[in-house]
Formats: sequence, structure tokens, C-alpha cells
Amino acid sequence: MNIIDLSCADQTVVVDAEMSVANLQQELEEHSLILGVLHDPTSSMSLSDLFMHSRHNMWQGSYGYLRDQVLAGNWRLANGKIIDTGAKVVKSVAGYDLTRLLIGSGLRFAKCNTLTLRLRPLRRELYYYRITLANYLTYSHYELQPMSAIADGPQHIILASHFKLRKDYLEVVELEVGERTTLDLLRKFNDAPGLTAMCSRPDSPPHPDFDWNSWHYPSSAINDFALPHFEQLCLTLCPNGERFTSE
Amino acid sequence: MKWLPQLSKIVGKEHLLTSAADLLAYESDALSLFRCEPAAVVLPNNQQQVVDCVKVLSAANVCFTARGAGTGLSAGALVPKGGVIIGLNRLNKIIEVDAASRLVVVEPGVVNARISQHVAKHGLRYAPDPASQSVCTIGGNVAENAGGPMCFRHGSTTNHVRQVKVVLADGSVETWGHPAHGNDGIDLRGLFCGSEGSLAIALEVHLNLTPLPEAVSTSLVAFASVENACDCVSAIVKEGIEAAALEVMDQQAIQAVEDSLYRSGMPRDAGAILIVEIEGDSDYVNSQQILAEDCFSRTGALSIKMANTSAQRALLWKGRKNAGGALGQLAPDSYVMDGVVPPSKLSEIMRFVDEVAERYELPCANLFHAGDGNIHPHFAYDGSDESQSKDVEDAGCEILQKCLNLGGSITGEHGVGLEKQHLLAAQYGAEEIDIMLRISNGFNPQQLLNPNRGLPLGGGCAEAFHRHSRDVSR
Repeated sequence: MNIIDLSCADQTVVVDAEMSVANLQQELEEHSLILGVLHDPTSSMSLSDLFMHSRHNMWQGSYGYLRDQVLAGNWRLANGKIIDTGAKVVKSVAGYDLTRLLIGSGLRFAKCNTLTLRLRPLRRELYYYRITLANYLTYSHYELQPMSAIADGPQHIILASHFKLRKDYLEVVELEVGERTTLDLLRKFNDAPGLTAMCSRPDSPPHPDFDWNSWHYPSSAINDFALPHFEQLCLTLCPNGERFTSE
Repeated sequence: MKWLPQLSKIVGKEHLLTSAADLLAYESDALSLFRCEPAAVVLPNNQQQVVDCVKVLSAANVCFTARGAGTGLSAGALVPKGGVIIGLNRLNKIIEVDAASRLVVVEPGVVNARISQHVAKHGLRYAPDPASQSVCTIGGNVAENAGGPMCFRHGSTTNHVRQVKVVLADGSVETWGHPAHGNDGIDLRGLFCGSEGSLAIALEVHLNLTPLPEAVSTSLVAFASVENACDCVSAIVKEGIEAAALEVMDQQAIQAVEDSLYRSGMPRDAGAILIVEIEGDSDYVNSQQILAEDCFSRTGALSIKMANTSAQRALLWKGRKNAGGALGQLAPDSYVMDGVVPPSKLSEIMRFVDEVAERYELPCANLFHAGDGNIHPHFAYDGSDESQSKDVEDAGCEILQKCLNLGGSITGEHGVGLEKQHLLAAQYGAEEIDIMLRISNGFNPQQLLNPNRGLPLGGGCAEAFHRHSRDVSR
């Protein structure tokens, strides 16, 4: 459960999928690198759990979706066959993108043995914000236009990745790599009625009130959705109908 | 062929092309090594017409392929003999801009660069920027998962597609992805991106928009050799500088640009140039530029030219982005390759490219996305010379095999198409290929939609590297 191959020059790492995210980030930090995924440093969640079950990356605004971090994988299908997907380079369009198909699919198709991940330079100047917006009952980022109106221009929008629905308001937990525009935004929030904002210093951990658990979807949620072609894909990957059961 | 009048009825006879003169432009994409004349080209004007055309062709058991501007470089948008091209250029509406959500909804025929022009007033842009962005269309970008210089920082097309509305081979319409975050658990959207039009045809695409940066720094750095330029790229990456673009051009490419209409003042005496672009807020750009300049001097930069105005920056990029066109002057035909290696192997692969070009006695120029390790050797040749055409293909195979040996990929952004169909088995094992074929057959059971495109037709690796075919009609 560790790093199999770290290439600092290429900013890629091959890891055992059962390695914990926190341990990986800790080891990468020694090389001034980071996986572009925000994660609770005290959690023991494995990379496999993160990439197979989670849907949201709180650093999405800076580094993209969870899927964007995974370049390649070695997988065991439910029928026992082993496959390799992707390539150990940041760009490859050879064949269908089976890596993206498998990441986020729970355990319905395959278990990952190893993952090849894209890394980024570690930035020390991280700012963490917690912002509470009153009276917004929508739960969708897509629908959260009032926030950007307050922000007065698209440069000032922080890509929200986590919302918590309270009884009478929507709490927005935001996070962004330190850019001056976000400081401007923070000032605007501080001046706006009904809004409060807190900011920790650079190089410090997230605000003590930061709720790590609430942004992570429970793995059971992945079983609830229905998609066209879902069963067809199951049969394509495991023709005899084999299934992994939840661990 | 009773389907022809049916298509005519859907789109109007003026938008159904059947004459040899009209079809000529559709017999190849920008990779002219492969040609096949379609039986007809149909040019629908709206999404419903596309769906209706697909239903007619599907019912008639006629194969068909969607096509945008035809700028593809892997022979991906060709159709076998007797088949029909569905041209999507007339579906060119920007349907919606939601600046607050950084979202734009477009039809597949919208030209890439038009999106950034359209949303600039909101302080936004569409980040993926293939060299052909002034003409290539979003439908093709999605089908090929197109890249470009800025993809080093911002990612390829798939990173920017949130949702797609598609028509399947049987005419049914589905929506994959999510307009807010692109994620829906099982990522059919991601499977579709880069599937080369073999799973479905895009009708509508929801794209991410990216804020225009507050500040941009663009440097053109001259080096004595490509190897020095590659060393500089390694130094920049090692320093932790998150450049937006790291582009290298060798001397042959510089000369071609400076001899063309696209001349941009590149140093003719340099062995190679490196274009470094850094973007962000002013403080960040200034701090990173200082670090970058240290890298330049440590790796033997001969000169550094900064683009101090937006006009100078535009001129510099004009030279880089039109270099492919400029290289077209060197010979009647040009073969643009697309391979990827880990960036730390760039020097090694470039030495190998030189060696191969010398051995085959083929003029070769290089311009590449160095940050991504994505190389684009350009071979100049005469397509009417069968022997030279074969040499070009052989040289290409050797280089791509070397990319694989160095831990890379046979394509970073051009796609497999017909060009590399025979090479896919060298990158993946039989099990992975089998899954891809089964997925293809699941979505496209009769193989009517861009049949077998981007997937191997069979044959092992050894056999694969000895295939030379320009005839795709069968």
C-alpha cells in the first residue's frame, strides 16, 4: 500500500490503490508535489475509495474533476480478468477512455489495483474560506447565480464544490488556491448583509469549522442512479454478469 | 438508393451533395494519405434534421460519419465506399452563455475560436486551443478529444465538456453528463469524448468556460539546440512553475514560419525556440517569470524576447499556430505525426526522430507541446511517389513504437482514426482491445456509424507495424 513509481520530472505517480490519500499527499509534499484533490489529512480513506466512489473535488476550480487526476489504471474485472487502461502521460487519446469510464463507477465494473495519477507543483499559498449565504435554498452549483452576481464578474467567482443544505439557508463551503481576486470577493462578502466569511491564513490548515465529511458522498449513493446503457456496460465489461459486492 | 430522395426531403436538395466535384472536398480530412469518396454528403441545418438523417440511413443500412471542418489529422472522418458524410457545419449556433456558471451551450458546428470571441465580453474564454482553432469545430474537437498549447495548464477537451446531447446510430437521442459538474457517476460523457464519432453524434455540447487571466507573460527563448530547449522545459517543470504553455519549434519549423506569411520575428539562427506562457494574477505572473528566467539562463538561452503587448503576443502565437500551414510549402504533401512521451524523455525521442528522418532521407521539422511531452514531427514528402509515401508511413511507425517503448502513447490529441488503427494493438493488450470493440458494438451494433474507426481491425503487433494502405474503400 504505497508508492510504486514516483516521477518528479514528469509529475506522475503510480500508486497502490489501497494507499490512503493522506499518506500519499504527505509523501508527495516532501517532493514539493501534490495530488490536485482536497482531502481530510486525518482520514484513512484510500485512493480507491476516493476515485471509485466520490464525485466531487473541492479543488475542481483549480485542478479539475476527480477523473482529471487519473491518467491510467490497472484493474481487476469481476470475472477476474486484469486490464490496463490509459497511459502514463498527461495526454493520450488512443482508443476509448476506459479510465474515465471506470473512475467513479463504484464497484460495479472493476476494482482498481494501481492508479497512475497526475501531480501538480505544491503551492504554499493556499487560502481557505468558509462562506455562508443566507436564504438560498437551491442545492445546485448551476443554479447558484446570485452568488456570482454578488461577486461582480466571472473572474471573482469561486467554483463552489460543496454546499450544505440547512433548514433555511444554503451553506457554501468554498476553497480556492490563493488568487488576489478571491480576496476581493471575500471583501465583498464581508460587506454584504446576511453573509459572513472567515478566512484562515496561508499555510494554515482549513478553518476549524471546516466539515470534511459533508462534502463526500457516501458510497451507497452510487448505487441509486440509473443510466441508459448501464446494464449494457456491465455486460460489456463482465459478460457473464459477475458483480462485485460492496465491501 | 431510395434513401437519397429521403435525405433530400429532410435537408432540401441544395444541401445534399452527390456530384464528383462537390464530393472531392470530403474524400479526406487534413491527413491526405487516406482518401475515399463518399456516396453523398448531407448538410442538415438543425438537430432534428440530423436525427432524421440518421434514422433514414440506419433504416437503409447505409454507413455514415459525422464531419465538422475536416481538419482532423488521423483520417477519422472518412466513410467507407457507399457511405454518407453528415456535415455538421450548419449547426453553428451558440445556444446559451451562462457567464455566472461559466457555461456555454453550443451546437457541434461552432468554430472553436468563435466561442472565446463570443464570451470575451464576460471576461471568459474556452481554453482548449488546437492549432486549427480558427476553423475546426467543437463537434470534431469532442470526437477527437482535441488538445492544443494551452492544454498543458488547462487540460484537453474532455476536461471542459460538462454535458453532451447525442444521437445514437439508431436515431435515439440521449444526454450524457451534467450541466453543472459533468459528473454522473458512470462517465458516458467521458467515454464519448475521444471516441472519434464511433459511438454517437453530438447534437449539443455544454462546455466549461475559463476566466481570462488578469496578467499574461509570454517569452520567446532561443536555444542552440532542441535538446537545450527540452532541458529548459524540464527545469521549468522541476521548479514548480505552472506554465500555461511550453512550446518548442526546431530550426526547420522556424525557417518555414519566417519564410511564410505567418512570420513573427522568430530568430532564424536559433537551433530551437521555446515559447513560455505564464498566466494568473499579476503578482503570481511576475514571481513565476523571475523563476522562469532563471531557468532560461541556467539552460543556455541565447536570447529572450518578451511579448510586451497583446499585439506582440498575438503575432508570436500566429507564428506558432500557423507553423503547420507554413510547413506545407516545403513539399506537395505533409505528414503530421502525433506521439506522446513522458516529458523527461523528450530529448531522447527527439534524437530518435532526427535519426529516423536521416535514415529515410525525409525532410522533417518539429514543433511540439513540450510540457505535455506531445511531439509533432512534420515529414515533407511527395504523395505521388509511392516509395516516399511508404517511407513516411514506416518512419512514422518507428517513431510511434519508440514513444511506446519510452512509456508514452501513439496519440496525444489527433486520435487513432485510420492512420493508427493498426498500432493500437501495440499500446493495449488483447483484453483491453476486446472491451473497446464490445463497447463499440454495444452502441453501434451494425457498425453503421463511423465503422470501426479508432479501433483495430485485427492483427497482432508485429503484423501491425507492416501495414501500408491508402485505400480505405473496403
